[in-house]
Amino acid sequence: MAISTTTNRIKRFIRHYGTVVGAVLIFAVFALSSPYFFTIENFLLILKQMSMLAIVSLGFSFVMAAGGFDMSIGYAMGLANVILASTLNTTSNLIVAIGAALGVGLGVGFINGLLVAYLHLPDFIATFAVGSITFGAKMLYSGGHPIFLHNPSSIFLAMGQGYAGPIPMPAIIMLVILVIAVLVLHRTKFGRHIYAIGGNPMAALYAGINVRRNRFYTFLISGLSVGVTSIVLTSRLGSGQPQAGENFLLDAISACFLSTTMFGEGEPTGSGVFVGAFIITMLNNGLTMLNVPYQMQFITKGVVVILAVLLSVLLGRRIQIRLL
Amino acid sequence: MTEQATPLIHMERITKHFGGIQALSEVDFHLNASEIVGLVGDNGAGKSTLIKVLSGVYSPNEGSIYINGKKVRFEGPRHAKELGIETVHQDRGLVPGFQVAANLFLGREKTRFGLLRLRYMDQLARESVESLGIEMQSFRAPVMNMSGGQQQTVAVARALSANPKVVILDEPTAALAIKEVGKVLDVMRRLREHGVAVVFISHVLPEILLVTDRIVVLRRGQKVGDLMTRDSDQDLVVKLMIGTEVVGCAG
Ligand SMILES: Nc1ncnc2c1ncn2[C@@H]1O[C@H](COP(=O)(O)OP(=O)(O)OP(=O)(O)O)[C@@H](O)[C@H]1O
Ligand SMILES: [Mg+2]
Repeated sequence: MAISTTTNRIKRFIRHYGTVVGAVLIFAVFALSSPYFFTIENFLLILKQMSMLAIVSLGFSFVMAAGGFDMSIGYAMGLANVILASTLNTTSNLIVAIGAALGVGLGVGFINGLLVAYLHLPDFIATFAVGSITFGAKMLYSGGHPIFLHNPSSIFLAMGQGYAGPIPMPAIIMLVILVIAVLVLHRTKFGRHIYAIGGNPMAALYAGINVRRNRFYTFLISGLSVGVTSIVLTSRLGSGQPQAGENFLLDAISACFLSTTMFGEGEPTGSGVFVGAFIITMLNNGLTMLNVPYQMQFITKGVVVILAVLLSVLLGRRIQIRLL
Repeated sequence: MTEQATPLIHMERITKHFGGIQALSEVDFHLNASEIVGLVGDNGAGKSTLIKVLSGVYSPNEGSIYINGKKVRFEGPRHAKELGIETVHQDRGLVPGFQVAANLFLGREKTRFGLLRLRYMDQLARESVESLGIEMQSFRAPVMNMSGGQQQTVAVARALSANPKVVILDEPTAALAIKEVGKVLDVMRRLREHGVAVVFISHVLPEILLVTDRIVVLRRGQKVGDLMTRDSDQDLVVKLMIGTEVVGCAG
């Protein structure tokens, strides 16, 4: 009896904090391998590097909490990036340009939501197709060439490159969005309802929750987070780049997946997504610091995600990811 | 048959099909306040479909629903709930990863300044489960870690805590031990005392005969019997369910 409760307690601890402990171990390995890793400067750098990933992953986690998937985020971000850059060049109006970027994100989210929530297409396929359309639109629009900002205002550049004291601006934007996302996911009716839809759509329906509308909203939120991220991205690049944003899909999926192995009962949580994005970025950062080739970083990330998921399966956690 | 002038609920010539499957054909069903009606029939007879129409989950292909004589068209489950109809569905309708309180208040969460009142809901949930006379060791565990009976209790407590006029229980006793079955039957009697109308679906005929005032029998989507419990016995009900007999629902 006593032994079994102790085992259960250990299991529960690993289930809730296993991924965090794993991250601390990786952190320790990096810290021992490089004198530059475990420094305030590098910590602030990681915060800066992770900010875009964290914002887009937090948006993604709304879709995933409702049991869905959004494959369009990478390409949508690319489109928002080039449209923001060119709008800023042609209008020189920051508000209009930011509005255009958010509009692209929301527009893509709107189409995804329409197809998945109201027309009942499988989310994986539908958002993948929308991503492909977005990619084509971006290539047509930009002609495949980078769009450099002519005269970006210092305010705009500060969003991706500035600092408030020692803290990078993108990190501040990320923290604000993190707080909002955690509150909405875990402290509002809407958050409850989307987790209910992800957990048992029939139960949500019986309870009088508007399943379609709420699923639709999750895609809008994902699109909005893509728009916000594209602002930071464009500011940081000082341009619209044809290839920009594409890597975010894999990393955001990884961050959200890692988050399902933390804190909660198999769903992504706001804080878990934050830690997940931190882990992914720390891996990239540390491996770069150790001069591990770029290609190896993809392999390492894949392995880490598989290990995390394997761990949670071995611990008997229900994994609630439905791709189709 | 004792018919009140206007029944609390009157479903008239309800027809429902799913593609080619005719789940209900022209079923009439009524329900009075302070009455427990047993709804019986073989697997696939249409019981759950009928009560899903009454709880706003399905809209019927044909037929009308009247509440206190007034015609209503449910826009969805929320609408039915607003009109005082609460349902414990056959699959219980719980979110497996949610704790008791989150399930109990699903769709009608208590908030303050737009934020969930977690502790308050926890306390209310505890009270309403305990008021059913059922102990539950852990309120903080996700319901998927609970036994079938405990989950059933959560689902019933949820329906009752909304102060309904009509309570529909679709096989609420299926997962329960004898002692717990007795408690659910007591709950139904208590509801009747408070003027609530109860629809009770079960395959266990002794339970039905023990607690109901009236029994409605469905067979292959049609109503084949509507009889007072005191005038019926198990043999008669079984015959209606599987046989050719038709009682009390002509016209
Ligand atoms: N959503 C649905 N889609 C298609 N067919 C359905 C659906 N729901 C019910 N049916 C069909 O309608 C018929 C009636 O089903 P229903 O669930 O109402 O039966 P029931 O009397 O509740 O049976 P049980 O005692 O097994 O619960 C069955 O033939 C069933 O297959
Ligand atoms: Mg049924």
